[in-house]
Amino acid sequence: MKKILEVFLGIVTGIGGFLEAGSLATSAQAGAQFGYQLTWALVLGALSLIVLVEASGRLAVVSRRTVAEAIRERFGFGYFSLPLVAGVVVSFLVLASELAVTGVALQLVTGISYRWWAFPVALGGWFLLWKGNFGIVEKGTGLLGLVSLVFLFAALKLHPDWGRLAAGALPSAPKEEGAQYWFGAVSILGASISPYLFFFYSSGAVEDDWKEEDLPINRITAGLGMGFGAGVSIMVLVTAALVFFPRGIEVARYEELAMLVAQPFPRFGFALFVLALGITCFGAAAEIALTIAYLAAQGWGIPWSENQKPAEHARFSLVYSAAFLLAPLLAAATDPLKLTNLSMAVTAASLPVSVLPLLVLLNDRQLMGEHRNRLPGNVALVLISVMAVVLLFVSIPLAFLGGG
Amino acid sequence: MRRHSPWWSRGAVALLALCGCGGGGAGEAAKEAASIAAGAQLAASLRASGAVPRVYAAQLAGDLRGELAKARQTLGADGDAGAAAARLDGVLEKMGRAARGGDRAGLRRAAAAAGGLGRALSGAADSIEAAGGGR
Repeated sequence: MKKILEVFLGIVTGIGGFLEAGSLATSAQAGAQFGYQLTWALVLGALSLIVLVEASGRLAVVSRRTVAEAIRERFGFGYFSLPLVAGVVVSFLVLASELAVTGVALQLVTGISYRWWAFPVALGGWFLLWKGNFGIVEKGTGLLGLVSLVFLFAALKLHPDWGRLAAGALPSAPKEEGAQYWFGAVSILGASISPYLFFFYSSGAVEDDWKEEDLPINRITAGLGMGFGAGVSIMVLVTAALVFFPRGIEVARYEELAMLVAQPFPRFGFALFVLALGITCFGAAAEIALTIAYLAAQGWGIPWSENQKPAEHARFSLVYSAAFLLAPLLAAATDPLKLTNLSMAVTAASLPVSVLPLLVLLNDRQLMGEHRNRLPGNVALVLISVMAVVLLFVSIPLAFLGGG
Repeated sequence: MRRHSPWWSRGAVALLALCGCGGGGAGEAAKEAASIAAGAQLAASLRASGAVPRVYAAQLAGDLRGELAKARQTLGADGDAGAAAARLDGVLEKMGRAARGGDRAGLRRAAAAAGGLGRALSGAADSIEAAGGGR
């Protein structure tokens, strides 16, 4: 019974915790500008994320090491400094963007600018990490984040053309605005395959003390939780394709996204949108700040755990405190949507340094024993690695050409 | 035929855009103005039916005016697109006032006017691009 509950919670928090500033913005922009045509990027991102999350969870369970610790031990600190720096820089940008967008949610109901809200939101996130534990951060925000299912109901109410949506799941070339189309695809992939997700997930597996008998839970959570979570992102794209695309509205600010839900649900859509935006982005901010602390602590070999009192892991707590102190400065100084778009492109560019080592680690007989990768897993990881290398070279130029 | 600017100039535009500054060509600006008009039409009609709160509609009208000001810098005052954008600015001002004052009839009028101007701007954008004035 406990296992069933654990699986259920894993799936539910996967769904509720999937949507955040990046996936929301990139899906909505794609739907508004290209209709269903970029659905394939979301499907590809979701499949890649499922493979990476399952692999990082399996690595943590079998080796009793997080992805960051395993990379540092196997490749040395010299190499590890690459994913460390890339991970911290990218996570910092994404953290600032999540804080700004949580501020936008508060701005929608108060009229006070997100620039002012970024600071109290950061304080709230810091308080959650300081007083809470890993379960509260992950499952609490994930469960509350289920309000993001409003996009599923909005899409169903708008009666999408399922045939055209299925056709969009297959890659196709754009008729015009090629740079914007490919930048949209790269941003979606960056938002879907954020390295912070698998660094966080593997740290969580160690925090929750998963054992080998938990491997099926890992597989189900990764597959169904992330799969259904990505389904919510697809529904954001669908609502934008049905509300904005026919009217020629291109998303220029997060505030406009409220109309995606208010249009099909005039009585309560706006309130649900504000809740979904605020909760999912606040939850993501807490997880990202924690990931920055995990990366730094695991990289330098200092004690870490969100399940202990902050005083017992002072340096670990200091890292997320510093992240919450500095990120609102960036959040308050920039446009949230432009910051999100840029951070998604940088995330996509940073993927190879985190993804390529996984291929080696998961084939390490000593580390993984009988749970090392089989042929299908290796084929999937090689394909993702190739895609990550392509993204490294195209994402930043496309950000300039396509409107980052 | 579209004119292409060098990569470094596009890079500078993207970096400026991150700070909320800069803009593209006239065709692109007319398209942005058309998108703003369509957004205003939807927001005004949603507020008129009570689907979004007063503070939201009033603030969005102000934000859209800010976005439109950037597009108008590129479009200038002359030509169909420039004139339509100038009229749209007035409509957005009225929309903001109607939203703040709870004037639903005013919001419906603003929605209708924004819809018409959106179609005019979209047509103007096509004409500019056909004439080679796009980015």
